[in-house]
Amino acid sequence: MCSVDPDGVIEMTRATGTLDISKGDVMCRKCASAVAEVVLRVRDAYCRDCFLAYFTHKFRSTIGKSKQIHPGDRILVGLSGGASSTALLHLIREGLQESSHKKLRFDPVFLYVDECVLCGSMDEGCDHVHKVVEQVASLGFQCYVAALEQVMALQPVLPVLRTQEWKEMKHTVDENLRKKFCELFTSCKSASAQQDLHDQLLQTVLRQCAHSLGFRKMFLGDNSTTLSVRILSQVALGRGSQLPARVHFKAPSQSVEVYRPMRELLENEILHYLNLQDITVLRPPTFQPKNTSIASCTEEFVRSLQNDFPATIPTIFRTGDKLVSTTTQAEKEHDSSADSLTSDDFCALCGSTLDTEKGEASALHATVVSQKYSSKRPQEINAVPVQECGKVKSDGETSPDPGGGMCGCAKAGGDCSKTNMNVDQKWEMSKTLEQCLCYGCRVTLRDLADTGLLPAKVQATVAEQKQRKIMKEQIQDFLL
Amino acid sequence: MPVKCTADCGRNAVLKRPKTGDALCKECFFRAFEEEVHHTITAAKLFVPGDYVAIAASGGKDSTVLAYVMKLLNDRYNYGLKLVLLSVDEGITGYRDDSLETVKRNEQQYGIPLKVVSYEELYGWTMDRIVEQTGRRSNCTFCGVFRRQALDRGAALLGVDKIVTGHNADDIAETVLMNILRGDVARLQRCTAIVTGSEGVISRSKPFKYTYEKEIVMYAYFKRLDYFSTECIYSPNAYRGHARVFLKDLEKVRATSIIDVIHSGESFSVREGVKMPTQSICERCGHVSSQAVCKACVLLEGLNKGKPRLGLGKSSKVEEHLARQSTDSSGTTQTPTDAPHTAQPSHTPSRSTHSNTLRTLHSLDF
Repeated sequence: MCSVDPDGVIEMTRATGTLDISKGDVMCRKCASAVAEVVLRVRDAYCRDCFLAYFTHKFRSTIGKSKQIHPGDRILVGLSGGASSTALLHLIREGLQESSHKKLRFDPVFLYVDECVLCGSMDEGCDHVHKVVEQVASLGFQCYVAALEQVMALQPVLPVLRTQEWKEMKHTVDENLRKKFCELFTSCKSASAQQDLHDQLLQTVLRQCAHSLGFRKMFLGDNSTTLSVRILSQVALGRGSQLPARVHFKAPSQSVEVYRPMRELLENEILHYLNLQDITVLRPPTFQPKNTSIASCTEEFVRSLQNDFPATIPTIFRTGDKLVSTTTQAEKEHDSSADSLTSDDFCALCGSTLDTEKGEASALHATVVSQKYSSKRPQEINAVPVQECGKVKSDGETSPDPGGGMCGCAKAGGDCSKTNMNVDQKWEMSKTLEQCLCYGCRVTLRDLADTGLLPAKVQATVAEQKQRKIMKEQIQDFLL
Repeated sequence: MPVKCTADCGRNAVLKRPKTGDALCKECFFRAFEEEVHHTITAAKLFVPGDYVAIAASGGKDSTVLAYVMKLLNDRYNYGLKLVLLSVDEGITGYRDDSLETVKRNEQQYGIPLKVVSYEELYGWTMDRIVEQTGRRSNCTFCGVFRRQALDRGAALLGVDKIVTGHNADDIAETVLMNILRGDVARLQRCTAIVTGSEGVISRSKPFKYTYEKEIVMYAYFKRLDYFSTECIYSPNAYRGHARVFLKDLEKVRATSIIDVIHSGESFSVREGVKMPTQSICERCGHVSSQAVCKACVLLEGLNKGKPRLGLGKSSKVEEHLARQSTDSSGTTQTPTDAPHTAQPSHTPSRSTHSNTLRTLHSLDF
């Protein structure tokens, strides 16, 4: 049947020619008294002052209308050195310097995470750290520095304040973690898995740093453009349930609340701001996978669509704002008791609420069924029918044993018990691991050659959750 | 050296499953394909024994394979269903007449009776004549809106309990992405449901919700199923929307992307407090609609009044038109001279024919 959706046929508005202000004869559409220097939304021209007023207002109102940031709050601001977070740094300084009634009243401290383990040499890394710290210090703020490879450590490593200390620590402690981190990354079989793992680990490091420094609130520099790309890429990665946590203004994570004050500003607006204010952006190297990944494919798609249809990014962004995760919503509805969320309900790798309790009729279960029917791996065949047979019987179906009828699968199960114990143990381990992960992390770890390389903290969490599950089973009959 | 089937049946593999990447032989693939659809049907409890189920059949690959598999599973697992093929004849010469031939052959091959409802009998217009009026620009809007109702009405005529459609995993993932791109949260919420339908409407379900399009083609290819694969002459490239291109790109990067997108769609819902369109009943034909007058009635009104663009543009224009019309008709009774002045075929039935048929349909007690 024709699958043209009648509602999809209603076309989005295509971009018309951009307004040309290069001749200097276009006046600002707001004040009409100054020459326009900036064009927004394809055809709206603004002069320098009106644009800066508009830009700053958008930033401040995002914080103001949320009513979440209180006078005296200590806030850790994540700084990548890119355009968005550099603009955030300057907006915060301007806000703190304002006259009394407009003054921002929180207390910011900055945090830079060094990624030189993935790109560039250690010396280059130190060089970038130095520049970032200097930039922050020149505006009168303090800057903590952490390294991405810290995520491999079992105990959280405390970020350090000064550049000199950083250099010393790096040479003594980090070599081991660095090696482990590189091993983990090289064992990723796909660019998508690498990029997703990088994303999750960076978030983990940020959270850990905020937590160990005793911050309850954290600012991140995500802008409207990056968030729109993220909305789609999270969906494509199977992380739909984490979308609110990754794109909303306020995202409560386990111990730290993450805020995104730049979220209503578009990337091109930020670039105009930096340009007009003559601010240099350091752009230290960040991780870029070599091949096309799900995330880079999404970014390319959104950006090219935005060129043709200027409403694309705002529309995606607003859609993202209206969505919540079904698991958290279900909890809200029938949750008056306090112990609804224990640590067992969080993904051991990314820390999100698990989205894997979906029942039989779900995409998650459908993939398990597909694997079962098209592979002979005995563990899967043994693992699935336990739930499977019960269900089939209770449905009153006349289905013969779903596993046994399949081209000698049962035989395969018998054969495989004799095979190498080592393989079985490894399989068993990854099975346990999988149960402690959210859907998105499971997809990523499928592309990981050796799950034993995962951060020690993740392994410890998995072991703990497994232990607790066993304990829970033992006392199951006595739980009310 | 030939690759062995990973299901360990001892045979040589002939294909690599797009969904899992496993190498399978023909028999194991058939078995896996059928069992997965069976699993979807039982897990989602799509049917109860004794249901009279209409299979929406277009003659294309999805619906042909659906008809075949439904018949096969109904026999194998004693679902106890009575099946019927339901086709919509849009009246597109060189496309639908040919594909209907395929459906007629399917009727013979699978022994499932066929019912055809046509736009001509339901609305008084064939797509060929609508295109004459509107040109190629918006014809798909007419066709899509009319088809949605036509299936419901055909199903009501037959008195079936349920409709199954051939929508596959690719279609659903694409819809998720498209609804995000155009900001349609109401549809975003609905589109991942395996069963849709509110009160008063015959429910529709998608047994192929988790089945990859590529595997459907593979199944049809190896089973040598007879299907029609020409694209519609009026929208040869409409199939390739932005969302579809994007999804295909994602699939190339990672084959499980399609299922991953569906999982994402199943994992979020619309926040409380977001305004959602309310569903009510069209005041003209009684069909479910989010407006006072449903889209089909508005489009038909436009066609019959010689203003085919009505209902394609702003909704305010529609309201204006309907308001003016109600004041007109309150003064004077409708006479043949009210008929449109533009060139219009004389045998076109008036709007009321459509509305009346629909009323009759809805008053039938199933």
